[in-house]
Amino acid sequence: MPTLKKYLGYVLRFFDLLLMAISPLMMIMFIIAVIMGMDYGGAHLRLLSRLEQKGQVTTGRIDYISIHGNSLTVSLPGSDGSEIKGYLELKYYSEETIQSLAVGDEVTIRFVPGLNDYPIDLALEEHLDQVRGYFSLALRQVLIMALVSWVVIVIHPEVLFYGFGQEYLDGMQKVLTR
Amino acid sequence: MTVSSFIALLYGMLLEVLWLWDQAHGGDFLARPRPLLGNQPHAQLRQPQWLAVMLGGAAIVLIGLLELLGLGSKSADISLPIPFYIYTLIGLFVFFAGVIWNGLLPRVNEKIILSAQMIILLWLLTSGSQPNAWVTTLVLVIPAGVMLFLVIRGEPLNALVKAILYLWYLFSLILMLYQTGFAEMTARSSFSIPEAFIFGTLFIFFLLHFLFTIRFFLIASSMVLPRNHKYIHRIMPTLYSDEQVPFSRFITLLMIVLALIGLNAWLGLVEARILVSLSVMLGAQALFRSKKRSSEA
Repeated sequence: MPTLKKYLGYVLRFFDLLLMAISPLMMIMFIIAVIMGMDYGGAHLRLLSRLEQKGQVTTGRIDYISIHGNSLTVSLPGSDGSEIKGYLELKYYSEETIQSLAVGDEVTIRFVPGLNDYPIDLALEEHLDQVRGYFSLALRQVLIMALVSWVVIVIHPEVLFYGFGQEYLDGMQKVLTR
Repeated sequence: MTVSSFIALLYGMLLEVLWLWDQAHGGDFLARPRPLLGNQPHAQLRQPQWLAVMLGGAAIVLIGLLELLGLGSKSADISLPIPFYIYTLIGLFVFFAGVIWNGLLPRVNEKIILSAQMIILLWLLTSGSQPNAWVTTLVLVIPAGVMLFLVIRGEPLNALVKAILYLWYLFSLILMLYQTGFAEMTARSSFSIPEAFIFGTLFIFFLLHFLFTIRFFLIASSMVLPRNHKYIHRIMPTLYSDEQVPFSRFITLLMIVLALIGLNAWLGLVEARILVSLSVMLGAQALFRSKKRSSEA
């Protein structure tokens, strides 16, 4: 009768072969995670760059807070003296900051003027540090995806050497005959 | 992008693929044709060189014809079916070339890496941009100092050291892509014919290296497990060569390139980021000389 140790060996061998089988997918997943991470990170860095280089500061009035939409509507003074509406995303701010805001409040807004001076990329001037330090859920998920795929590839890196010829074949042969 | 520019772009991409392939397989793409042995006294171009010349001729004739017929200025935007399929095929080809194959990767040595880092450093100093000091120091300044020491020392390195240096070199290329705003160039909608040709060559070179950077990061980081070290010893000779061009030639070429970049920064003749990108690309491909080819001569 095979011993427990031998059964354990079979299970580990099964997982080892499973990791090897999925390692090509993990390589693709890591590449996609890097590209997505650069996209999310790059978009946020570009937002910060626009706010700091082209941003204008003004005072606005909160007209509406949408908790479900995670945004608030503010009225800002336009360049011709009229009132224009702007939409500010709340995802950058902590719960305490959001709770401290109320309809009718006067807030200092930093915004980037877009087409026809319409305000785009709005942020709360007093809480700009939270915008700078924002680490989005999407980016966190992408990092987890990258980390998991990296661990699998470190355990079975043979797929990385495909295209280098003999190295790949040597690696495959060694794993299958272990 | 117009149809004429699109053809120039495609030719630039094809030329770069041919050059990279020829170099990765031990060829010297820029070498003057030499007479073959036997009963062929006249100098002959090798196959990749022939292909480049013929394709170049075909591109010029096609662009000329299209311009004469007034079709050259028609749009070849990516939203149209034919350009879209062509871009998709090119993208898939470069993706697999960077991620799975190694048939297009130019081999580097200490002088190539040092020249790339010096070019990028000079550009950062003259461009007026404000790069992140920590990133620049870590990715460029320190490696450039290390490479200078290694070039002067002139001794072969072991595979693990080569892997670290090669990874550092790839990161410096990525930093250069970011600092020069290469991504913004890809979003441009209009190119002149020469710009499109140059952009085509740069696009292939840098996209290939970008994808390979991710793959090589995985290769290098897999060395955390000692059992994976054996792979590095086998693959590094295909990526990093101990063959070097003569020191005098390296210094002469480097000084010429740095002087051109400095002069261009002063006079503003050519878009600086294109000149820098082209210098790095040409440096990587022109400063490598295969010992195999020189011994066949």
